[in-house]
Amino acid sequence: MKSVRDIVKKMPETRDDLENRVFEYSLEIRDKVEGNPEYRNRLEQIVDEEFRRYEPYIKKGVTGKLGGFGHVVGYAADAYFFTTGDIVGTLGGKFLNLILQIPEKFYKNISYAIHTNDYLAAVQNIVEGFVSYLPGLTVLDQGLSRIAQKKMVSRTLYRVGEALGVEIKPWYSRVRDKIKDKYKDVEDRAENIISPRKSGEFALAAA
Amino acid sequence: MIEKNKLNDAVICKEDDSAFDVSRIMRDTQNRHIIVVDNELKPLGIISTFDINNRVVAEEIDPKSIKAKDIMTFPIDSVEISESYEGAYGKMVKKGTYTIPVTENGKLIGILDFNLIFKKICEIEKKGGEK
Repeated sequence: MKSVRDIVKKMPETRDDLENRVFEYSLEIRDKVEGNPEYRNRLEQIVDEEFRRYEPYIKKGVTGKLGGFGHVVGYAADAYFFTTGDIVGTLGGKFLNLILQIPEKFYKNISYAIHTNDYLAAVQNIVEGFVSYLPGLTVLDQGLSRIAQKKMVSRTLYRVGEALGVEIKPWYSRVRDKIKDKYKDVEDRAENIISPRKSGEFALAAA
Repeated sequence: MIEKNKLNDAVICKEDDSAFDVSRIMRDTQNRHIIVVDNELKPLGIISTFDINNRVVAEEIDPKSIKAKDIMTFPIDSVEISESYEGAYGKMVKKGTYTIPVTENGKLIGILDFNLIFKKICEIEKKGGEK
């Protein structure tokens, strides 16, 4: 586990994790890959490329370990804040957290931005670091490795979907596919979703 | 001004839906909150799994006999799409929430969350850096 957020939703840490995430995302992709060796090759090629691209930022070196230790200190300071309300004492602990984040937030972040061209995510990582300095908000700093993992998954899914000609289903249809065998009478809830990408009138008419 | 196409989807139910329907919608979408709207899609209130537990199950009420409007928490704050990110952020901080419904002419069109506000801050920072 690399982030406390992994307790809620674990992100891929290995190449195989990434491949499994693609299969979890879409049964259609799994079926296509299992039925056609060409698709299997194409999938493996994309997964390899994307994993190699993000691997240096997912595996934690010294900077990552320092950052991880800093987060532990940050969470301890937050716990201290919530139990005692002592802001000054909390900021002391958070300051140590901030110092320990510096190698990751600057050195590794710059490397990430140059290597992946994802400057926006790099800036996001720095902003999250500053915001997490506030008492109680350590959790808002997800860390560079988790940002990289999310990007890796979304890029891989997009590329695999495009290469295999798989329709990208909306999230609520994927949720339905995932839980339909666990519970009874699971329905696609499109009519209960208001999306900024579909008009309100449509949603109301469908309801 | 808040960008419409960057908002998250909102899971909704109607005010006259039963608590049973609401719990099914929440289960089928794996959401812990649902926004209650009227026929004009105006947000009226919000129901969480906490509300279903405390106001229906723990009170031994038949979930098919009670309506969403009777168990929702209301009123809820929302922002118009024409408002600024700063204004939305201020309302979220004031209420201590991580999300806020966004409306256009009073109709619900999506949800704004903390992550998006972070991203907007990042974009503003980046644009400032480029200049």
